Amino acid sequence: MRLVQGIERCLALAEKAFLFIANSLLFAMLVINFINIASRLLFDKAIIWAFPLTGVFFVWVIFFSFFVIYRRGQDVAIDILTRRMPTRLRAATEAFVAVIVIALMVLVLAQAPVLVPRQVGTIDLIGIQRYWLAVPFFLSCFLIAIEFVLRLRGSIRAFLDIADDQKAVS
Amino acid sequence: MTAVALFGVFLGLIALRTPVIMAIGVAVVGALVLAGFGGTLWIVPMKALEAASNASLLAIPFFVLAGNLMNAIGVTERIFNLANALVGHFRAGLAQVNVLASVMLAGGTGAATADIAGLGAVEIRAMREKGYKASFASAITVVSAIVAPFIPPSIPLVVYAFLANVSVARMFLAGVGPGLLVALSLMLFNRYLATRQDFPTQERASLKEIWGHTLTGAAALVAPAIIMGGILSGIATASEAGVLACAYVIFLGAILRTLTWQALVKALTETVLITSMIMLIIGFAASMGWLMAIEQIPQDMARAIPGMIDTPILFLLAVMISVLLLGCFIDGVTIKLLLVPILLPLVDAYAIDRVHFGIVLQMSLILGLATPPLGLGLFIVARLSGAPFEEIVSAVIPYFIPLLIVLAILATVPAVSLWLPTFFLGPA
Repeated sequence: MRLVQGIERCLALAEKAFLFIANSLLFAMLVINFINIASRLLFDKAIIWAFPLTGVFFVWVIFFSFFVIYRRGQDVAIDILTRRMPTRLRAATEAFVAVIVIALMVLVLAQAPVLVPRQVGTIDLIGIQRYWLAVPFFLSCFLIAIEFVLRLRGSIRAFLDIADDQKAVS
Repeated sequence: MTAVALFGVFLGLIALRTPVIMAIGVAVVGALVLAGFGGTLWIVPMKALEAASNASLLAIPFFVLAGNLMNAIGVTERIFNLANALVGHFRAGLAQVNVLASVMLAGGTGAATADIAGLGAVEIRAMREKGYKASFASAITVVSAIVAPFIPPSIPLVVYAFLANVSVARMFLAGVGPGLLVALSLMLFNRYLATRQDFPTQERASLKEIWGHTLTGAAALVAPAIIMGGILSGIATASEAGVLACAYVIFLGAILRTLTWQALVKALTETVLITSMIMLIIGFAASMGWLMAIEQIPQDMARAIPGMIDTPILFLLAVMISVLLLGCFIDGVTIKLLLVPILLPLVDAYAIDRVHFGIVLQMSLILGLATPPLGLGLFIVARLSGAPFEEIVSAVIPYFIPLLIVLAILATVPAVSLWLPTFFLGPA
C-alpha cells in the first residue's frame, strides 16, 4: 500500500514537472520567434537558429505533454458502449484496456535500443544530438505504463469487490 | 486483409473506451505484425517522431495559444457586445448575435470547441436572461461554432493542408467563403424560425453605443487580420503569423489590464495539452499511413472504386455520407487522418481540386460536433447550460436543414471555396 502511495506521489510530481517544462518550452518558442521576426523587420537580420530550435522545443512540448494527457485522463475516449455495461463487466473492460496500453508502452520502450542508434548526428545550427528529441517520448511512455499499472490494479480491485458484494447479496 | 485488421481492431478498441491515441497505436502494431513487419515495430515511434518534427504543423500551437489567450483576457465578452450592438435588434436577435459573434471569434480561435467554450457561457447566459429556452440557446451555440474551422486561422485546415500537401494560405482563403455561407444560412434559418416562434426582441442600439462597442470589440478582430495579412504579404510564415497574433493578444491584455499571470499559465497549459493531443494522434496515425502506403491500399481503392462510382459528384456524395456517419462516433481529426491518405489518390483520379475536397470534407466532419451520440459540442453546451442532452439534440436537429443545404452547395459549386484563393494566389 505504501509502495503504491509512493508511486502515486512520484507520478503527481512528474506530472507537475513535465507540465512546467512543456509550458516553459512553449513560452520560449513564442519569445524566440517574436525576437526573430522583430530582428528581421527592424535590423534586416534573422536569427538563423530560431527556427530549428523552435522545432526541437515543439517536439519536446508534445512528448513531455504525452504523459500529462494520460495522467489527467484528457485523451479522447468513447464510453457509449461501456457505460451501458454492468459494473463488473465495465471493470473488466477497464482492466483489459489498461493491459493493452501497458503492452503498447512496453513495446514502444523495447524499440528504444533500435531507434536511438538510428537517431545519430547533430541537429543543424543547434548542435545537440538528434536522439535527444526522442528522450522525453520514452520517458513519457515509461510513466504512462506505470500510471496504467496503477489503474489496472484499481480495476482488478473494483472487479473483485463487486464480485464479493454480489456473493454477499446472494 | 491488413486494412480490415487495421480498422477492425481500431474500431473495436474505440468501442471498449480505449483512448484514441492508444487505439491507433495498438491497431497499427497488430496490422504491422499481420503484414509481416513484426521485426520493424520501431517504425511506430519513428513515425511519431517524424510527424512531431514536421515544420508545416508548427503553426498549430501558436494559433491555439492565440485563441486561448483571447479567451483568457476576456475578449469574448467584448465580441459578444459588439455583435449584439450590430444585429441584436434583428428578429431572433440574440440567436443572430450568437452566429455573428462566432464568426468574429473564429478569427482568433480557429477551433469550434474553443468557440463554444469561450463564447458559450456568455451567449447562453444572455439568451436565458432574455427568456430564450436553455435548449434553444445551447443548440444555436453549437451550430454557430461550425463556422470556426473555416475562418482563418483554422487548425483543422492546417492539418488537412499537411495531409494533402497543399498550401496553408490557399486552404485558409478557401475557408472564408464557406464559413460566411454557413453563417448566412444559420442567420436566415433563425429569421425563418422567428416567424414561427415568439422570440424575445430588443431595441436597436444607438450609433453611439455601436461606436463604443466597436472601439472595445474591434480590437479583437485585429488578430485574424494580422495572421492573414502576415501570410499573404510574405512578411511571416504561417507559424510566425501565429506568433505575431499571440504577441498582439498579450499586448492587448496588457493594455486592457486583463492579462494575469494565472490566466497566461492557464492558456499555456490548455495549449500544450490540446496541441499535443492533436500532434500525438497525427504521430501515431503516421505509421498507419506508412503501412497503408506499403500495402498499396489507397492505390487498390483508386483502381477499384472508379469502376463502382462513375462521377466525381457521386464520389463526393459517398464520402460525405460516410464521413457524416463516422462523425457520429469518432472525432474529426482521427477520421481525417484515417481517410485522407486513402482518399487522395481517388480525389486526384476524379480530378477534384484537393483544396475543394478539403473544404467539403471539413464541412462533413464538423457536423459531427452537433450529432448525437458523441457530438463533443453537445456535451460542452449541456454542461454550460444545464439543459437536458435530449432537449438540446431536438433543438439542434432543425438546423441540419440549412447546414446540409450548405454542404450540398459546397460539394456542387467548387467556386464557393476556390474563388478567393484563385483571386489572391492564382490557379493551383
